[in-house]
Amino acid sequence: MSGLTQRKQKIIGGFSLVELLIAIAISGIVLSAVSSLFIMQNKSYSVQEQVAEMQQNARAAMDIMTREIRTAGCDPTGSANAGIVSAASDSINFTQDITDDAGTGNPDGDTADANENITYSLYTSSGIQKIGRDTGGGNQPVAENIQALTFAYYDSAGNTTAVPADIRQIELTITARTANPDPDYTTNGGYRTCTLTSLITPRNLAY
Amino acid sequence: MDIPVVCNLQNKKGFTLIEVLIAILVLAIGLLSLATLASTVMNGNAFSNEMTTATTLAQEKLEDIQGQGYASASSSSENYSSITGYGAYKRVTTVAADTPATGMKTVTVTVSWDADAHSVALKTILAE
Repeated sequence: MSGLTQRKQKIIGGFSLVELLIAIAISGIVLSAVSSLFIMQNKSYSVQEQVAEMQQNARAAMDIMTREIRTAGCDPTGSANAGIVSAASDSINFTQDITDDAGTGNPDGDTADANENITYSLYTSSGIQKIGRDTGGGNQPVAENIQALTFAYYDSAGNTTAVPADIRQIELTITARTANPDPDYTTNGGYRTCTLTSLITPRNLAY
Repeated sequence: MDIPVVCNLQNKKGFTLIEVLIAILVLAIGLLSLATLASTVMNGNAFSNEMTTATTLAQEKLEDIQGQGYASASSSSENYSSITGYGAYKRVTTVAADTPATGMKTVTVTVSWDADAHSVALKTILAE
């Protein structure tokens, strides 16, 4: 009877200690490979997400600003005296007559209505540097995480000028950066940047 | 009594070496494809960055020509490393006079990068 019991126990399937150790070693190697792959993927995902966001910020800001600055000086009635009010290297203030008091979209000969007196500049809120669009009610964010915003002004001969009345072209440079620093990226304090430069020819300034 | 025990142990089910190797191979292919995904995403982002820069450069040139006016609009070419700050891009401006009609100029700005492997073209028509 004792011999039969012994045999039955030996028949039951199982792993020997050596098999188990080998299995643990192999699964350890595989798991460490998988986890390091996961960490790498996770890092690359967060960096690439921020890079994509940075590019979108730069592109959106460039698109909105070029479109709006292009209409600077819109003055169909000829009496609104619209144009560039002040031209600094880090901000621009311009006016346009595009609507009336009721907001119907009909020019009324002044630049006192909604979206007619616009200032673009950099400002910081909640610790984030943003491009602000101010139409009299304070800065509203256009794009976040902007490292630099530069304006350069050119007259009809193509020379730089600081006189608002002489300005015919505006060169706009936007440098956007990632939201958080990447410790593996040593340049610029860990912030990746993206710089776009474009020229704007406001259609109404020459007349 | 010992012989049947040995026989039973040998019959125990398990994986053959080939099966294990195939399993590892399948796992490796899966993991490799994940790694490829990461590099594809990076390439995609880098490409969209280049595309945006190229489009902005082309836009800049179009605005420049708009500003100069109809009379002085003329063809020009800026080769690689001649645009300040954007050395990786080449910009070719073609001005076709009297196209599509007399008194009009068709301006085409083509910005290429990556040894002309990629390009972006913007077109506008100026009237006299």
